[in-house]
Amino acid sequence: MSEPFATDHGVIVSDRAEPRPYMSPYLAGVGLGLVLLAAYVVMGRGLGASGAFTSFVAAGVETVAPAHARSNAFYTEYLGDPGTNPLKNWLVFEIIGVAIGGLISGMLAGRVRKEVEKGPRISVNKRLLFAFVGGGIMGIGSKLARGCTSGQALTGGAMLSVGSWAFMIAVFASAYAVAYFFRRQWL
Amino acid sequence: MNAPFYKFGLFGEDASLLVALFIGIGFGFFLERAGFGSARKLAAQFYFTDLRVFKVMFVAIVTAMLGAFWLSWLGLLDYTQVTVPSTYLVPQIFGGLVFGVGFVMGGYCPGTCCVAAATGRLDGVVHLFGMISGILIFGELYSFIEGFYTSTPMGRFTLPDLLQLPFGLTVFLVVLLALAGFAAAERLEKKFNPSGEIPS
Amino acid sequence: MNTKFSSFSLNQRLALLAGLLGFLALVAGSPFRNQSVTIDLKELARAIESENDHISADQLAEWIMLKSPVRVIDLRDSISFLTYHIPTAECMTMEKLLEENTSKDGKLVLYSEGGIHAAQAWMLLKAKGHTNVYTLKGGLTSWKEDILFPAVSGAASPEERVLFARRKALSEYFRIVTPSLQVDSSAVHRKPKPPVKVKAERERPWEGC
Repeated sequence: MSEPFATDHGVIVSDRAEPRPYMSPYLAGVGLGLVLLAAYVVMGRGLGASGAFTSFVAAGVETVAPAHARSNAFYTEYLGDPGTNPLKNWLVFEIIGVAIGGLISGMLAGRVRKEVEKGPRISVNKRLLFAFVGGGIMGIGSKLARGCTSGQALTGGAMLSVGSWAFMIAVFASAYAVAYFFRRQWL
Repeated sequence: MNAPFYKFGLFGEDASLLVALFIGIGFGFFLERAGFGSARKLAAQFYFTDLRVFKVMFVAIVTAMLGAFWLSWLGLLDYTQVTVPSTYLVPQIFGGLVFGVGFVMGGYCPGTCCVAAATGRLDGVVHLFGMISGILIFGELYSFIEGFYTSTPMGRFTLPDLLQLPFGLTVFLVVLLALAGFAAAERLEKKFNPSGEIPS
Repeated sequence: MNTKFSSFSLNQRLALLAGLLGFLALVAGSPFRNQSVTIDLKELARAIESENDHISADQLAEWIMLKSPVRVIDLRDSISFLTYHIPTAECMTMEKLLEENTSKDGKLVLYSEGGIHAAQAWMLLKAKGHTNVYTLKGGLTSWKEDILFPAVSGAASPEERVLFARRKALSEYFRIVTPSLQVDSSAVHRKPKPPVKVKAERERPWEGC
């Protein structure tokens, strides 16, 4: 499998010389859809990701400044009743599973390696800066939208929720719109 | 019918956390299988060289949508007990626009940055911390944003309601839309990336 | 035909399957085919006899005033709803009520003009498995009589006078909450659906994403 784009290989952890090619997107999509369906059938809810991170943030703020956390309506929603552990939460366990599942799949395919994903025209440091700031912007966007691509686009999309579809369309629209400005990072 | 099992009381909250773990494992597994542990692959969507983000997402949506529809029709699933995210139209659209910018800049979404971090991608780890910071900022500024955040609530508002169409017809239209999208995606990929050389 | 199908690639087969299922969904029309439920007749009869499922207007008024987590459902038509409805109530037809995603143990109070529709809806929800659903005894009529316009006769007993005093206080509260008993235009945003469900959001078991 040819690699026309440069990579920054660090220490090689579980890497094959020729990592397995990715699964067909259609098959992977079916797999993902079945996982989502399983969540509907077993739990009556869908997937999520940003909510788990919010729980982490809320728990962190409560540890550092409990009074401040409790006086903030946003954190309180994620902290639950006093005395309950905000990390004993469905999404938190799910996101841990996501990391494990990703690792398993990566190891089976020989795709686990210490690396910084980036295009050839940008430096590692700049890429990491963009990753951080981009992550921050995304964090804000996901909270405004009450979810992310997992919770809103996938879960709400399959349930045909209008807000979720609107979110999904907005994400694609704005991402395409600004892609030009970040082309040096990827191409 | 006794599904969703949890809502019918077939198991308790602690067991549900275990379920969460396993569902998460399946979720992460297929995300990585699809190549979403790689920011370059994800970003390629927006440069038309690899449209798998669209493909995977829409196949997943159609699969789960059809699955839920038919299981409900067969009487095996109580459709009304499946939570539909509430619609808060304006903040969701605005949030989506912001999210899209973050997506192209950062290269991941909240779920995939976990997968990336788990498979050793440093930028995934950094992205994760960035996300946490963003959420923290949001939380701290919440009192200013609260009004906007809770505006235009529409509750459980689905496409059949909006379009005033029968449910089944809407499902069919979504399937058609997806299939048309896939055909278009294949064509676009051939045009922008004829050699099929995609970043891996 | 057989050989033609087998020459399809995997993707094409998946697409065909999706198209077929989608088309059949179009034909089926709705995911709620026959929502059949198994009814425990004895248990239902017992529940009806015990009258635990009725609540008085006073009780409902108290729940609303204390902001206790309860959803009040108005089963009348939207014009009557707009003219007057019990504060915090949501307007729903019986069909919409069945389609509603409410947790099976959330507290629900159903009311209609006199109570018949509410009782019928109660039956359906109980059959569906809801455990915490009540009807307003006497319907909106008793609400108006007892809460909005309470009256006491001259020859009333001391208990009745106490009850009247309480009701008078409640009626003040509810008049303030609904200043004009004519039209509560803030209730419904748009013509068709859906009714505003903001209050109910907090009551739902919070799941986030």
